[in-house]
Amino acid sequence: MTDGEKISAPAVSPPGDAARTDYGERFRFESLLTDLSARFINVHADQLDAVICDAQRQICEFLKVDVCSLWRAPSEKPDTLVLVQLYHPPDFLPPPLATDSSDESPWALTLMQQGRDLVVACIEDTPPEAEQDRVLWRRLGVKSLVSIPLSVGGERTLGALNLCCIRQERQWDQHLVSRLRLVGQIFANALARQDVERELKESRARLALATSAADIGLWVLDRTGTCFWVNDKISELFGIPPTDELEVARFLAFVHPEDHELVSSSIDAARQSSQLTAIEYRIVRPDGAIRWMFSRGRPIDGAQDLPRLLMGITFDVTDRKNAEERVLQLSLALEQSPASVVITDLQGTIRYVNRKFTEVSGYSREEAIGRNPRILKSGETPPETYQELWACITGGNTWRGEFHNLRKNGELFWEAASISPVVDANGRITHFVGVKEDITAQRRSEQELQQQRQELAHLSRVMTMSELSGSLAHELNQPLAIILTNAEAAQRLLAQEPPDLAEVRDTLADIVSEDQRAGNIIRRLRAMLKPGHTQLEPLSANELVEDVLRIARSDLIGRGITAQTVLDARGPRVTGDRIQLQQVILNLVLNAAEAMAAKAPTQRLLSLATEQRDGLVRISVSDTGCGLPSNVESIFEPFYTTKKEGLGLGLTICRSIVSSHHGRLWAEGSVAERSGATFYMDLPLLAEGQP
Amino acid sequence: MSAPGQTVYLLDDEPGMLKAITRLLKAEGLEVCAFASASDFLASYRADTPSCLVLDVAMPELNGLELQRRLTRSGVLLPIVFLTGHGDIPMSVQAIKAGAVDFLTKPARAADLIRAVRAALQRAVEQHEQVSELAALRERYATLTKRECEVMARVVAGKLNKQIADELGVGDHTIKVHRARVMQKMGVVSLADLVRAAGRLKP
Repeated sequence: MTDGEKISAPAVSPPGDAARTDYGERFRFESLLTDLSARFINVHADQLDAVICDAQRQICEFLKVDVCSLWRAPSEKPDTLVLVQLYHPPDFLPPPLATDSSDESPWALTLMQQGRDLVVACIEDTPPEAEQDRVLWRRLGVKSLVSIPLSVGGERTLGALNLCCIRQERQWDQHLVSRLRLVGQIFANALARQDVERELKESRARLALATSAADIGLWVLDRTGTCFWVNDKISELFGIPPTDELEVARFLAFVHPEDHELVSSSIDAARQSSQLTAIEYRIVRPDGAIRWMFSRGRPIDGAQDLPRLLMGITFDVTDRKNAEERVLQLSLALEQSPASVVITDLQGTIRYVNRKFTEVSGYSREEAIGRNPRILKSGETPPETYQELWACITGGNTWRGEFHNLRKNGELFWEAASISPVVDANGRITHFVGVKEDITAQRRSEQELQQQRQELAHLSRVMTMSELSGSLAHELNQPLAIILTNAEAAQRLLAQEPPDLAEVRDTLADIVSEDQRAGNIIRRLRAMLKPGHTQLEPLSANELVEDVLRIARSDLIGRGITAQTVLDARGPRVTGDRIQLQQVILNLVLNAAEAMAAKAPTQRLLSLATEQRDGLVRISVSDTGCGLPSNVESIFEPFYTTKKEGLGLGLTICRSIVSSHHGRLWAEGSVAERSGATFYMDLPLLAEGQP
Repeated sequence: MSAPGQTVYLLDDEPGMLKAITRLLKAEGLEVCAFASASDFLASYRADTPSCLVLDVAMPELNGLELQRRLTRSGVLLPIVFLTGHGDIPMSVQAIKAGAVDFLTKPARAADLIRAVRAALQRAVEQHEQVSELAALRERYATLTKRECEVMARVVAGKLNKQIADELGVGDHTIKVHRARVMQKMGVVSLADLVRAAGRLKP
């Protein structure tokens, strides 16, 4: 800097031509101010420092001042002055860039903070409270100075503009100080503008940080409504190279055709409205991917007559949309499910029921939610079922079973249910979901089927018994004949002299026991002829075989058949309906007898056996008859018969009875072998200790 | 009352029935031997006294009709009273043809059963007598010499002494002597009696 050396004019002009000089100088100063103002107004933020510096130089040169410094008093630390720009001669020792002025120049600071000018022609003439300040000035070599506090619009003091003379003292007349205030105003505006710019910059940076952290696209639609300013996130969302500007037309080209109208009308509406406008729409990215976007915008109020800016955010909601879509589909599926669905919390309180539930149970959604599923309880389902259910699902497992429940209207119905715990991400059970199917109709038809089967079985039994009627009559005749003979023998014994009373007593005892025997035969017959319901009970396989032989005995004797039994000494037991199982064995026995009719009497051998094996009981009936057709299974088909009067349902019914006992009925032996046939019936073994 | 030595054999597989009939017949003073199976009966049957059999038709192993056939085949003349559960006409006809005394349907009245048993015993006695006579006749016949047998066969065939003498190549007188000895040995006094005896001897 060489200008400082040129300063040679006296600090104080002679009073005589002061006025003239004054006017000329004032005029030049005015033009300097105008020039500075103009430069500051048009200056770009980046060049502000350079302009300030140049202005300082011009002022120094113009006023023949050595040093011009611009200080800023930061709002967060108002006692510290920070040097903004300094214009000084080379030999000037620059002050520190930041000064704690409360320490070094408290007096000047106080004046500045009060918005008062500091005008010092000679530092030694300053008041005693400026003692600290004087030390500083002396150290810096300042002889005279002016410090103009800077503020905008009467607000807080932003800083100070200082002009110092170090070569010599000088006077600061009132006009000069006034004009310096104007200069200060220019600088103050510049500082304020710098502040605003910085704040804006920081704010933008913060916003950019926030938007990028939130993964949010940010945009501003210009006043003409033709172009968006967008941040990089928007470009990323749209799958295009980074850009600052996105024309509305280009943007709309990305929008999915079906959402096009919605989007463009929403933009127009948002610009008119003062409300927040939000829309969801699809875009088709250049790579063809369809993404769901959420945009929210709000107009920014500007000057009244101007169209407004529209500013907003956009982010990708595809995942949420997809999830919503899935939830929607799922809930639609749930609603339209042909099964009842109930969701309860851990306490069993109903949280959700679907439409089918309301149809089946008769309870509306409002009635059901908040209550316990026990509203359906009829008392028909045994308590053990519920205990088992809870143990199962609280253990994290799915329970399957059937309920006999009550509809709201008091009607009983059957439900097949599958109840599972719902587990959250941490593996904790949060809810239970029950899926239930109304199987009442199914149950009913099963019952009808069961009843039909029972009726058919009964019919078959009656037919079998009628086939056997001759031999059964004989069977019953036997005890009656014995009773008659005994009675007549007793009469004769009593007629003797002396009567053999001991023998008479014996005779009467025999009569009683034969009468009981006759009674038992009649009971068995009635049981076989009764159209009873299935009654399951533990049965001894050996007893079944023996009972049947008792019924068939006379018939077999009449046919000249010898019967033998090989019974398992362990006395295996099965669970079943006594009459039905007897019916099966009886049918097999009579079929066997039939098959042996053509054989010589000595070759008519019927064998019945029971055998316990691998968890089941096998009852077999073998004959030495004519054997079976090569297609053995055909004999189990309905209407297969070899008898003239037979219906051909015997074996079919037998098989259905055995199946309903969870057993199996099959046959072996063919005509070719001529070795007769064996029928096997396997039934599940009733294990020891079971009732 | 039956004559001593007369036995009623009873065969029924039904113990109650066996006991009841035994009781009834014993009350009538009859001697009863009861069996539950045909094999037991066959093992202990003795033909030396007049006896009858009360037999249940329907028996396992060996049925009544079968047993009847078997007895007849082995030449046992045992009057049989059949008892049957079902009054089966063809079966009863078959039994009667084969020589059954009676065919009773269970439950048989005591009087009917007793009458039938007595009739059977009566027949047994008669049969027994016939059998005894035949045995005596056989014994007499066994005393004849070979020549006497030859003469007897020709006499009962109605041949004249002259014809017999010619056939045997001896004189008429010799034939007359043989003939007288045959009559004497066979215990007959007339030609008619001799012819009847010869008829009975023929198997």
